[in-house]
Amino acid sequence: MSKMLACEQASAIDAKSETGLATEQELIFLCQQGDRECFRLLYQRYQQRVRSTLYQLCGSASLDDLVQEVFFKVWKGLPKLKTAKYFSTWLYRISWNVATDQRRKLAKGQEKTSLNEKVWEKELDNTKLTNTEPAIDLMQLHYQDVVQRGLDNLSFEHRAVLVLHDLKDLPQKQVAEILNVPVGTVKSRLFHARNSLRKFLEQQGISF
Amino acid sequence: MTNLHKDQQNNLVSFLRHNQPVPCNPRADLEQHLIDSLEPHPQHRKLRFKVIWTIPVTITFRVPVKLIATGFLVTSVSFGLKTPRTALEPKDLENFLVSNWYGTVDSDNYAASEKTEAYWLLPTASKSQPALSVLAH
Repeated sequence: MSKMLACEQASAIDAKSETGLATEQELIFLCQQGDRECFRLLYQRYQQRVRSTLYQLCGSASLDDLVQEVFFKVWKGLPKLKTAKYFSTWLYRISWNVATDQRRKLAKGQEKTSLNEKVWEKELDNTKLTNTEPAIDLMQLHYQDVVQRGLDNLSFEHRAVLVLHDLKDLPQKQVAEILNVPVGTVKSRLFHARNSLRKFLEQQGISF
Repeated sequence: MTNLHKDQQNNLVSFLRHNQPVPCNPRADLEQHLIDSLEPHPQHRKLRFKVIWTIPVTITFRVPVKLIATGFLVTSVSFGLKTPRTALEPKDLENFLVSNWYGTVDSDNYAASEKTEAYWLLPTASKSQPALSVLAH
């Protein structure tokens, strides 16, 4: 009975959420109270952002596990979150932390060796196979592959700034909060990351 | 180190956004698996809160209620079971009143009350006072 009520409440919140910002705060508040159905809505709303961020930072290796880990940490940490307005930044911070841990694991383990190129090939195949958009052409798939390899060539710090600022369209101040660095550092890293990526793309025959 | 011009930067950023790598779709059961695997939030704080507040609530409400109930019982029993007291005899009552009457309006007390009355009542025109007259000499 209570579960049904929670579902109805969550659906109502979801219906309202497209129009108002306050409802997101309500949703987060209910999640903080331990409401799983509301957490499902929160997951549905944010999972794509988290997923693509993790993918662009770490590649597709164990991507589902990483997404799951992020949301487990969110669920566990939600009662400690003071204000709902910081939720998005906090979520990206968790994603960044999980991605950093994954990179360290890869650096230590055998996964990040000569297998890397094979992994990329496999990723590209998966993307081709599972992508449901029929209109996507081969040229765009090629560019996506080039961009992904270009990102992989960057250092992890530069890559994170570029992904969060240029691909996720987050302001520099928020990127600084997520990465816990000064705004000046974000600007500097962004400058170097763009230059490096541009050079790589030019080597692949793409000029601006 | 080459510096990107503004236009080049904009072109690069728009190219990256348009061709950003898209992840493959998640496993079909990922969402449900995640929701099923969630552990309930720890309720230690609530329990502690309950323990802290249960004792004072008990002390504050239960003990006084018991005391009042006990007092009511004792009083009602004592009033109900004891034999009713006999009323005073009229003769005794008269003697009591007479013996207590004397001395209640003794001279000193009365004087004091008089003084008091004189102090807080408006003066009366009981004594005739000579009329004021203005004589022109």
